[in-house]
Amino acid sequence: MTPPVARAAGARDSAILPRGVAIVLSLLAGAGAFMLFLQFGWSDGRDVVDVLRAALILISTWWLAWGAVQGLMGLTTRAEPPARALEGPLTERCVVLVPVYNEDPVTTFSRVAAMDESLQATGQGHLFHFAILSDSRNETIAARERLWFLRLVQDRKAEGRIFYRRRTDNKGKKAGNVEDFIQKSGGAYDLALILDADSLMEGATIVEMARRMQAEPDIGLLQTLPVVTRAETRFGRAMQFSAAFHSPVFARGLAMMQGRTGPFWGHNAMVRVRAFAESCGLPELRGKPPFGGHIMSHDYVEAALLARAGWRVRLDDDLGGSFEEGPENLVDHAKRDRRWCQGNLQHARLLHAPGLKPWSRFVFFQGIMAYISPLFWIGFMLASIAAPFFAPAPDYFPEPYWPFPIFPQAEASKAIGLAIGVFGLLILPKFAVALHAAMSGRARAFGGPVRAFASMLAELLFSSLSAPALLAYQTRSVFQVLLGRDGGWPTNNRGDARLSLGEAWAASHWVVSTGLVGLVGTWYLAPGLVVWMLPVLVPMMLSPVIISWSSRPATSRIFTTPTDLEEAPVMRRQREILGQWENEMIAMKDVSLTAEVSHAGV
Amino acid sequence: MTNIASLSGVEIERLVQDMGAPVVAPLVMPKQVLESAEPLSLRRAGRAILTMLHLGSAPRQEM
Repeated sequence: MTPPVARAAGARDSAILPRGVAIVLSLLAGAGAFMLFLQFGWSDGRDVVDVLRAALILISTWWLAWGAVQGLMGLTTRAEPPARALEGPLTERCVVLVPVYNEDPVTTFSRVAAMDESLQATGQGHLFHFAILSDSRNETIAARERLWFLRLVQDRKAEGRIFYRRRTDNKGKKAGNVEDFIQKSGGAYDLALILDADSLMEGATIVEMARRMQAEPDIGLLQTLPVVTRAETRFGRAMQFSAAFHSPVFARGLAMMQGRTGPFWGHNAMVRVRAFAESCGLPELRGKPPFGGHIMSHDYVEAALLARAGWRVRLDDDLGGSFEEGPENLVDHAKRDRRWCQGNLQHARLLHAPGLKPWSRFVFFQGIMAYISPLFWIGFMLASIAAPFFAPAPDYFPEPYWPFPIFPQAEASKAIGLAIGVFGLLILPKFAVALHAAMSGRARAFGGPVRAFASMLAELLFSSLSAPALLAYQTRSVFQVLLGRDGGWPTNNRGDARLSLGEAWAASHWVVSTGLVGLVGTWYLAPGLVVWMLPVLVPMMLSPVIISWSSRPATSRIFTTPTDLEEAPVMRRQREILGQWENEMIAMKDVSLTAEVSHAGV
Repeated sequence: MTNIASLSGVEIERLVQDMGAPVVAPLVMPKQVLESAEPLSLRRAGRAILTMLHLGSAPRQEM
């Protein structure tokens, strides 16, 4: 297949203006913060620590502003379907890939059953196959996978349509798992929908994606915006609300800037198989993990490689019917984040990879910034504590022959203005999204404008309280990676999420200690800054309570999301199938277990 | 389900092999080049920037 380089070169990149606006506005915000802080810092005399602090503020504010501008830009347009639609019938063949790694097969396969049922209902089911790609290393789970695969095929009458294979090794982790399938079976398909074990998609959405890819042959990858569903804990509900309420707006901003080099988030995305095969064979990087070895955050790299080969990578945020599940407590979130942190920092090795589009390099840089940005804030706080020791002694008589003292001009208003500005960058997009949702009627799907606004405020409060602990975990992850510690590939925890206070303490006592040391140190070295540090240090010292409390089941009606009010058909069917299978599993426990145990020994 | 649950491990294994094996249709997936032969150094990066800005010396060409 010839890569569509000629078409790509001739195509107009409509993202230049949005990208330029976003970059200029965020840089202006950073520069403004730099100037304001310098005026404040130099009010008591000029010293190098003030310049350092102003530089740290510049970087941090630019990064915050970058996110805020993306959100605000997303409010200016609406997600629309592409102009070019497929006129003839859909003919391209597609395989739905479901990589699994020590997951509960009953839950995962019930999703496959629901998606297959939904696809068959579209009348286009004959064009779609499923392939469950197991990388499970736990023999009992693998035995259950085989058992439940047979049940799935029997239930869906899907012999020759739903496949299952287990690799003998985990080479290349998830990317290697997909690559293995493409190398052995990819030639049979035009398109492949890549999912995660917790992904769920409506058949109509999958068919529409295939139609769009057939209509535009230069698309190498089409990404949907997955909606987080089925959260039950307070933490999970807050994240689910935030993702449903804010993410579509931020994704719209991202889509405006994507041009031909859109994102790939690793799942709920369709690829053109031959384009993927020709462009996305990932090499092992020189050296050992965390920076060498196999590429962990493979999705960003695959998107960059497709773009490098001239293929269009596009986020179609107008597509609904795309779902996933998220972590249910802060500790699970931090574990997943540890893996993402290592993967994103590894991209530092690829910033200068040959032939990449400049925007792809910038996407790598953004991914790195997402993890190292807390270091700039921490650096700023530490430099602020140290600043009084470097400040020059006040000179009340700067004029040689002037008999009266001249007191330094108080510039506290500038510091307060800067603090308000930074705080504004954090909360302004969220308030703007809430206002927009109320005015456009989108808030109705979140329980009405009042409940949506209350949910937004509650999420803002919760994220403010949990942010210091999350940033502490993130910072530790960055240092672990920089010190060469490989985080490996832990299984996602999709079971009971509740954490006792003891478990939360075990996971976060070091955060408490760090907060305590920070408070005592600030009190001792710069008592004037204690009040400014309390919003960070107090939540750190309370982190076990916050972690444990937020891991409990949510009972309030706050954080209502559209899928709570109107369950998507594929979600309802998956729930029904899962319920039926679980009942049978309990009723047939002995038989099932016997089969599983005997099979495990095979 | 009763039928499946009553199968022995060997029978399940055989059935999964028969029914589960995906279609065989190989496709070549060449490894991509992501790292240059020489690791990045400040000198190389500086030289690349200067060349890009037409400030550095271009590689000598044969007459």
